Amino acid sequence: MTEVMSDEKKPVRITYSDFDAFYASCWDEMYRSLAVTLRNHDLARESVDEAMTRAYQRWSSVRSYSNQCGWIYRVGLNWAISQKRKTKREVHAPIGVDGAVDEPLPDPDLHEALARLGMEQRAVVVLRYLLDWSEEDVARTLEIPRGTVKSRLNRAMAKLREELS
Amino acid sequence: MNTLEERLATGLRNASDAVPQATGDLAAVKRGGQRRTLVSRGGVVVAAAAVMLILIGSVSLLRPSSEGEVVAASTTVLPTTSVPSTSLGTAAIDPASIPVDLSEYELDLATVSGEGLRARPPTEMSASLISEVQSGAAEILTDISADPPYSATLVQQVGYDQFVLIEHADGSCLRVVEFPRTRPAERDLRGCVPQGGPVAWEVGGLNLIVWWGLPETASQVVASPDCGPAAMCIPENTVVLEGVAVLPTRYTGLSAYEGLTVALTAYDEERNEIAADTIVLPPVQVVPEEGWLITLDGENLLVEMPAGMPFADFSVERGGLIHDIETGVVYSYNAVNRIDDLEEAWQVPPGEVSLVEVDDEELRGVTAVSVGLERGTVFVGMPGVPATVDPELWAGAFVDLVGDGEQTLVLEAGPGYELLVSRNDERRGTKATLIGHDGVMILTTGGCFFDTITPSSPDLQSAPQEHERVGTILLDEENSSATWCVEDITVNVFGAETFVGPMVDELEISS
Repeated sequence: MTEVMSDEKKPVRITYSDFDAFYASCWDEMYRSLAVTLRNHDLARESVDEAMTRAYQRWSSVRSYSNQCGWIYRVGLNWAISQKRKTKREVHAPIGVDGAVDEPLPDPDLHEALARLGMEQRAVVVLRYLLDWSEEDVARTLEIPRGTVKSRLNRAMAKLREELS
Repeated sequence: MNTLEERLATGLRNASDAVPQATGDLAAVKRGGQRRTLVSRGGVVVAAAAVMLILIGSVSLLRPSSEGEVVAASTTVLPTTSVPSTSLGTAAIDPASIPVDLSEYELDLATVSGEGLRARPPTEMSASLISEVQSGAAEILTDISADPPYSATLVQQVGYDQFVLIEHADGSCLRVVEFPRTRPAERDLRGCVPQGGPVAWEVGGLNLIVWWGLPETASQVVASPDCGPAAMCIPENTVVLEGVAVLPTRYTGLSAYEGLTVALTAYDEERNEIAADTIVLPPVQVVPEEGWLITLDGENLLVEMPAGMPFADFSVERGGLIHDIETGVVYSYNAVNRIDDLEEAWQVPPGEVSLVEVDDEELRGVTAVSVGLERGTVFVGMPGVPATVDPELWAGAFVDLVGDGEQTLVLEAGPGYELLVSRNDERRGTKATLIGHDGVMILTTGGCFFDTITPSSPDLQSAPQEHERVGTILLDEENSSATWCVEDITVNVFGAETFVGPMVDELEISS
C-alpha cells in the first residue's frame, strides 16, 4: 500500500504496488458490488476475474492508477454489459441478487425498485451508497463527468422515491 | 423513517451480504494475463495473417495426410502492408513498426469438409478442446446445412482462443466462431457476413475489424496521412493487407457515409478513447447479388437488399436498422438477434416522413423517427426525441446506430438548411468525430464531451471540402444522461430562417 487519501466519503484511492495484495484487497468487494449492480452473481464473478486478468496483464500501468479497485469495477462492468448484450441473460429477479438468496431480503420494495433502475444508474447508486464513495470518485471510476454522476444519481433517486412513495 | 439514502445504504449492504460467498483464483488470473500478453502482442498479425491466408488461398501451406484429410501445416506469416494514394492522401504502415515478434507464433490451418471438423489436433491443443471445437463446428455446419456447402477453417492460436472460420462454398459468406479455452460454451461471435462486410473480431483482448474480401486490394483502404491528433489516426498497429483491413480497435459502427467513403469510429472502452478514420470502400458496389449494397446516389444513402437477404448488418453482432428502399419496409434487429429474428418493424412509404412508436422490448419503446426518406436515411430515436419538429427544417434524434445501446445524436437539416451545433463549457473535448454532410450531422457518443470543430481544425484539414460543416460531440452512453448533456446545446439551423434552441424535450425552436 502506498497511498491513502481521504475524501468527503469513504477513501477509495488506495494503491497497491503488489498485484497479489491488490487482488486480495479488491476481489471480494468488487465481486459483491458488481453482483448487486448486475443482479447476477455468476456474471459478477466472471466479470471480476476478467477485469483482474486484464489488470494483471497491464499491471505496469494499473499499479499507478489512483483507484485500482474502481478500475476493476469499471472494466468488469463494461465487460459484463458487453456479455449481456451478447447473451441476453439479464434477469430481473424480484428481490435480491438474481434470486440467489434463500431468504427474502428485508425491504423487498426497495430491491424491486433498484432492479428497475437502468444499469448505469444502478452502478452510480451502488458506488455511492454501497461503497460509500464520493461523487468525485464515482466519476473517476466510471470515467464520466461529475455532473453526469450527479445527473444519474438525481434521476435514480427521483425514480426510487417515486416508486417507493 | 429513515431517509432514502439511509434506506438505500442499508438495502444495498443487505444485498451485498446476500451475495453467495466466492473466492477468486489468483493463479488462474495470472495465467490468463500471461497468455493474453503473449497473444495480444501477436494477435493482430496472427488474425490478419489468418484471413490473408484464406483470401489468397494458401493451399500450398496445406498438405494432405495419408488418410486424405487436410492436415494443419504450421507456418509463420508476415503481413504485407501498403496504402496507396487517394484523395485523402497516402499513409504507409511500416511492418517494422508493428510491435510483434512473429517468431513466437505459429499459425495452424486446417480445412475441413462440410461434414464437420477434421483437423488433426496440434500438440498444444487438449483433447477436450478439440472435441469442443469439433462439436461446435459440427453444430454450426448442421445449422447451415440447408445452404450451399460450407467449408470451415480452424485457426488455432497458440495458448489462447481458437477460431473457426466458416465460409460459403462460393466464398461469399464468412462466419467466425470463437472457442475460448476458458469458457465452456462457444461464442458465435458474428453472424454470416457477406463478402465485403466488416467482421468484428476479438482476438486476445484486442478487438479487430476485418473487412473481408474486398473486391479490390489495399488500394481501397486508406488511412489519413495527417495523423496528428489521435482522434484521426488509425491505430499504429493497424495492419492493412491485400483486400483486408484489420483494425485493432473496438468497432462502434459506421458513423457516416460519403460516397463510398465510410467513416469508422472505434472506441476503446478501457481507455475511453475514440479513434476515427475514414475508409474508402471500392468505387463499385460491395456485393451486388448475394449481400447488401451500399452506395451513395447523390445525397442518398442506399442500403439495398436483394431478395432473400433482407438486411445489412454493419456491425454483425450489434444490430441496427435497415430500410428497404424499394418496399419502404424498415427492419430492426438487435445485438442478440440473429437473422432469423429479423423483424419487420414498420413500413414507411418512400418519400414520407413519419414518427412511429415501436413497441419492442429490446428497443424499449423508442420513438422511431424516419426523416428524409427521399434520402434513404432511417433513424431511430429514444424517448425525448422531438415529436413536433418540422421535418422540413430539421430533425434530431438519438440513434442507436448499431444496436449496442450507445446513443448517437443525429441531426438532419432540411433541404437548403445547414446545421451548426455549438456549446462552450467545461466539458469541452475533441475526442470524437462528427461528419457533416450536406446538412446531416452525425454525432457520436462516448462520454459527455462536446466540441465543435470548424473547418480550420487540424482534425479535419484532411477531410474533403464537402465536410466543412463538421463538429464533434460526445454524449453519454445512457440516454438519460445524453439527454442531460445536450439540454443546453444550441442548434442553429441556417437557411432561409435561423432557429436557435435546445435539443431536448420541448424542442421549442425560437427564431
